[in-house]
Amino acid sequence: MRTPWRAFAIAAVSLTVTTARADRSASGAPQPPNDLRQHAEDVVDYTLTASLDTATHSVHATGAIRWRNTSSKAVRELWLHLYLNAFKDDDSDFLREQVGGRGSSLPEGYGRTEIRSLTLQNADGSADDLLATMETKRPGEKDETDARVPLPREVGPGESIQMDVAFDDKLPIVVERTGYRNSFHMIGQWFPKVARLEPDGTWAHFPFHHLSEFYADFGTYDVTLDVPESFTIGATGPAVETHVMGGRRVERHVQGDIHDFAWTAWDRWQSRHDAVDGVAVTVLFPPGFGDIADRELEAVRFALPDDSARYGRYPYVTLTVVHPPQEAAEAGGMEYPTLITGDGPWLTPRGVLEPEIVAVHELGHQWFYGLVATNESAWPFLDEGINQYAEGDTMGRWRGAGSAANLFGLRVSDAAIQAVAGNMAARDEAVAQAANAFSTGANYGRLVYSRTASVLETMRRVYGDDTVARALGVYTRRFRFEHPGPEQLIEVFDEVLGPAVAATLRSALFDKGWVDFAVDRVRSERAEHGAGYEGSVVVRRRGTLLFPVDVDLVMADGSRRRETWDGDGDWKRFEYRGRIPLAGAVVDPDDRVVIDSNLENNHGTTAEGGGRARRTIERLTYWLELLLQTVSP
Amino acid sequence: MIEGILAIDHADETSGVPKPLGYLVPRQGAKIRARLHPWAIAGVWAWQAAWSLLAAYPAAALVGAAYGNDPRGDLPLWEPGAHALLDLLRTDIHGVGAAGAGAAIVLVAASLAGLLPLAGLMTAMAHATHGGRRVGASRAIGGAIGSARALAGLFIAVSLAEGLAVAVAVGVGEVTEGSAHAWLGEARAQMLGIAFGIVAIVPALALGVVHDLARAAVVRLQLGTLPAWVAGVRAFRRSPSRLVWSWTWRGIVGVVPVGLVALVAGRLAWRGGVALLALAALHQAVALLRVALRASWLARALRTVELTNEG
Repeated sequence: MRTPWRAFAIAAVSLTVTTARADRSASGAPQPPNDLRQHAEDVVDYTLTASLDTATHSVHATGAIRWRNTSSKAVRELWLHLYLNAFKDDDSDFLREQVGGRGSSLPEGYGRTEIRSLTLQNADGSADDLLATMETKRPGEKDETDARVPLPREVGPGESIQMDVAFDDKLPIVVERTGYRNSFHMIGQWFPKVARLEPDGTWAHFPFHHLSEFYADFGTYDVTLDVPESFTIGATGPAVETHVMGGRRVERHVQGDIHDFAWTAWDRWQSRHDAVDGVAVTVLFPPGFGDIADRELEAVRFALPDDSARYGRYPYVTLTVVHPPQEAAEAGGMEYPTLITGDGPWLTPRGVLEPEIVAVHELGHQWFYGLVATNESAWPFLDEGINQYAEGDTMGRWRGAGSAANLFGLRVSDAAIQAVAGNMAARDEAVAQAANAFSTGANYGRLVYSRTASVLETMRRVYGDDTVARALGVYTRRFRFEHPGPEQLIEVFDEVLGPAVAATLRSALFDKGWVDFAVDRVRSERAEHGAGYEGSVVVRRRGTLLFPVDVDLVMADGSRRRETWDGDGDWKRFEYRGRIPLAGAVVDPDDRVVIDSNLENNHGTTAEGGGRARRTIERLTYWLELLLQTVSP
Repeated sequence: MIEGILAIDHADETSGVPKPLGYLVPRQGAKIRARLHPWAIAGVWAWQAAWSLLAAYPAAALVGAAYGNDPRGDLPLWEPGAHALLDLLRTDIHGVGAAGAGAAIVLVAASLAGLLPLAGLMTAMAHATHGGRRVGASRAIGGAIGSARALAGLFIAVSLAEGLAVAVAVGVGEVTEGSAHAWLGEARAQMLGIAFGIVAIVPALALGVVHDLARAAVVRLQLGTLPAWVAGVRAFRRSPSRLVWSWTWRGIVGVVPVGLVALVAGRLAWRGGVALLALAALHQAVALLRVALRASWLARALRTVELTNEG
């Protein structure tokens, strides 16, 4: 099964590369442009040397940060994110915001970033101390993750500065993606990171909130890592130098066109290697997780060329999949440029596709976060939501109806899970809001991830298989190495799929848009004049979203007649006249509108009273028989 | 119909010789074969199916209420992808919870009441009429009722012992994993813990085998709880490995068709009409086969206690 798909994906990539640019197809519909941007605008470069002390679980680092003002205004200050300070003490915003969701358990050990020195290098060779005036918190605040650095002089548009920095990290016991457990180390959000300066000269800076992720400018990371010799390193970007000296392993990783850098070091890593679509893929996994690593590699073999074909070629030469041990599972399920972390216990049954789903999801983030570098704090649906859709789409094409689970003849799809989860909170609050604005972690997950995904999945099913892929293809190519917002996404949908679809998308994302199709009344009786029967069916559309929908009129002999409703209006009556009595009707019989808030009113019959559940009673009886045979004496 | 029970000759518990059961007489050991009693096996299967149907009914009624007005019936719930099924679990979560609790209560009751058909099956296999004919249903049930007290005693005692053995096995597994973690790593330590746990659970399995032998002693030798247990242990000690293997291979054979039919179910489950009937027939054939395997093992247990006492 793998080979044909790979062939398909490679063929699709080849087509993308070799076809002349055509922004519009013969039918006039916009097509994804083929001339992909090769590089990001280089805004901030980090040259760091970091040494890991595995006894104290700390990182000691020095280096330089070169930053360029790419905005239209001069600036007199700089903002640095010190994310590890989220775990410094119980006063951090992260630990005070008890909203549930990921990272909710209190850390077993605290962590922090402490800047030892920060100096601005002047052209004349002198240096200004920036540390003395740096504010890690403002009056009345206790959080220390968002530091303001006043600059001694103005930095004009286009002008660059260089800062030398030295800092120490004390890693927490693994919490919220980063930290250590025994000798395992997953090191993310570990260096003072310059916030993004928007084109209008405003800094997009924010404390590390419980539900928010990150946002940064592109640049080149040149990071030299130094760990004990017995440790294996996995890191963002390729290792361009490696040597062992004095019992220490030193690796220099250099990668351009990225906006974050993460690494791992452990003395127990095992590895698998493969070349997929021209990319050197490495899977790092704990002893005993070989089968899981193989499954993750298989997922990457399908998804990497597939995503490249859909969303634009993966531009890097390496991809590292890190599967943390289960005792450090909090480090799993995370994305960094060219490095992703997997999840799933070593004994995960083959019928439960957790390792595959996580690998496909985090790989998708290479586009929806990595290449299209949206503000994850302000608009989390732009990365997590769209990527959740991409995950379900990829898994569905790869593994069919059982794309989430395939156990004992029961096939559960990834898209179905998202649809149901999304409906759990659809009318609670808007999807399109800042991560920190969500009332609970549960609603953040249901709306940002699931609701966004199921809205897009509904569009795919209603308007055609390639429609959403085409729109997202235009979006990811147009905004490759850029930082679009929601308006740019909606503009692309308007351009590719039309204003009505764009309006539906806007309503679903910003206005808690919802829809419920219902069969309200089914009538059938003998025709007054002549032979045969006549009847009618009333179908309603409740809610604010408009989709065209199919309606099946079902006759007494089981035959069907399909009608279509454009969905406009609150209701529509379908008249029936025929030789056979009308028995019932089903709206949306092919399950296209997966965001329908109530599936139990999608049908109606002329008969009164309850009905039959033959399949259900057959299956339940059998399963309970097996259970009874197992537990009974 | 009850006279058979009233006429039970209470055995001399020290003699160890198969005793007549009213107007039923012990069969020759070699003639104790499950295959000779298809109707008794079918009876146990029907009993289990009926209880399972009863347990399934509240959930099926819930589904009927939600999808009864769908011309397709409950087809959407079983379509590949399971969107409607998951949605039903979301929208009717409280009803599903109540149906689940109801099913659990029915299953517990069915488990306890299951002693009766089990004893009936064993009585039918272990005895014949004075004329050498097979024991009818009513007489088998009569014999079963006579054995019920001793069987219940065994059930309670062995369940407690098995629970303790399982707890010890889990503890052994955890301790093994904990001690091996530092030098083997998480996954391999867990594998080792599971391996040790499996080894440690062998006593629980052995208890189950002895339990069945003791039940055979109750039915075959008309013994009370304690003497039956002693007889069961004695029988087990004669050839423990053979008996465990005899129990194990039937257990393995009983799992295979479940897996095979699950593969078929993946293709048939969402269809109706003949396909649904075929699937139901397959499922029930698997359930019946498993009852037959259980009966085959119990026949072996009955022959074993006979041989032990002869020896």
